[in-house]
Amino acid sequence: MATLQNSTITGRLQITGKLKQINSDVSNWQVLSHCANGTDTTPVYAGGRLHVRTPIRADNTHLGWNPIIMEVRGYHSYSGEATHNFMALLNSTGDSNNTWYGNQIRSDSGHNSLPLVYQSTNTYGGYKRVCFSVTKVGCCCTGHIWIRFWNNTSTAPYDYAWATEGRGDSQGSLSAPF
Amino acid sequence: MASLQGTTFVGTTEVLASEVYVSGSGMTPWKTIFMCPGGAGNNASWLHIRTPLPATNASSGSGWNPSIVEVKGYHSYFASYSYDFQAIINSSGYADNNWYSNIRVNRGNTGGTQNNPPTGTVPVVYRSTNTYNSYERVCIALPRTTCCCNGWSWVRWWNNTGILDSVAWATSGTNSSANAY
Repeated sequence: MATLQNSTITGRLQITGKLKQINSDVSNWQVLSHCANGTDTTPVYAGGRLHVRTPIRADNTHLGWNPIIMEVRGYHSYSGEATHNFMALLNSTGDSNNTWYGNQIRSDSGHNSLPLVYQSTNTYGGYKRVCFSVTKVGCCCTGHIWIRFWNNTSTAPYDYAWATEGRGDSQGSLSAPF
Repeated sequence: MASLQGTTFVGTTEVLASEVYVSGSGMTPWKTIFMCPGGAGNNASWLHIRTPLPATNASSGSGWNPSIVEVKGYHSYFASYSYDFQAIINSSGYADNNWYSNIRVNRGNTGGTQNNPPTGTVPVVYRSTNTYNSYERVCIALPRTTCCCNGWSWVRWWNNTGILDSVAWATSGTNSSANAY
């Protein structure tokens, strides 16, 4: 492995893998396909909502009194019937009651996105995780979603895999698949 | 210092520096600003940020050569204030050297409580009254909660990025959105 210091690259820089800016306050974008693995087949292809489970712990082992911003962009499907562009604040109390702060979406200029951020009901790797859901069309059509985090990211314990799930629920009646 | 040309990295590439400056992009890296200005300004209702960008025609920077200043961030624990705006800043290229600041995109919010989302921030972008290293500078005022609570903002520039380095960034807390610098 090469280790460089104060490097200048003239011309085109191409990275075939991921670029990790270790000391940056902003994470890389995580890209996910918008065709969820649907256990809910009514309607077919788990139409209605895409649920995303992130690796971020939704408790004070990561967030307590130390919020981070989650930014989401994306679309589904061919004409952007649902287009996502929102930022949410993720936080929990640093007290022993460890309360999750809820759905704190502070900027949302999406189209028919209806985002909802929540704490998973179950634990994954010993911790509840930050999850969100957005509108999707009821088909396995092309669509992608990108997620990144602002602040407190370089030391974040990304200690569980991302996951997606399609459900026929709604923003107002969350089925909480995670 | 290593100087490479036309380089391809295969696999995950780690950068330990806080910034990756892509000179040919016309954009700066994000500058991170802590929302607690320190000193007597800790409990102030406005955070003033003095940026290194000259706000004058005389600096051969912004005269008829606008920049976008983009700001994102929050303060404090449930984002009582959130920032997400872009302003076009400019000065005339004439001798009168007039200053223009136009916030054209603003998705931020202010006020409210944890369960009642706030609405409508009114950030201010202005030119400093005083000069720093011979030039008046572009400054930003952000509304904030009156405590030294957790909160961060990020600032970057689109265009005009080559003249940023002649003076340090600074922050100050006051109870007015009016000129603090």
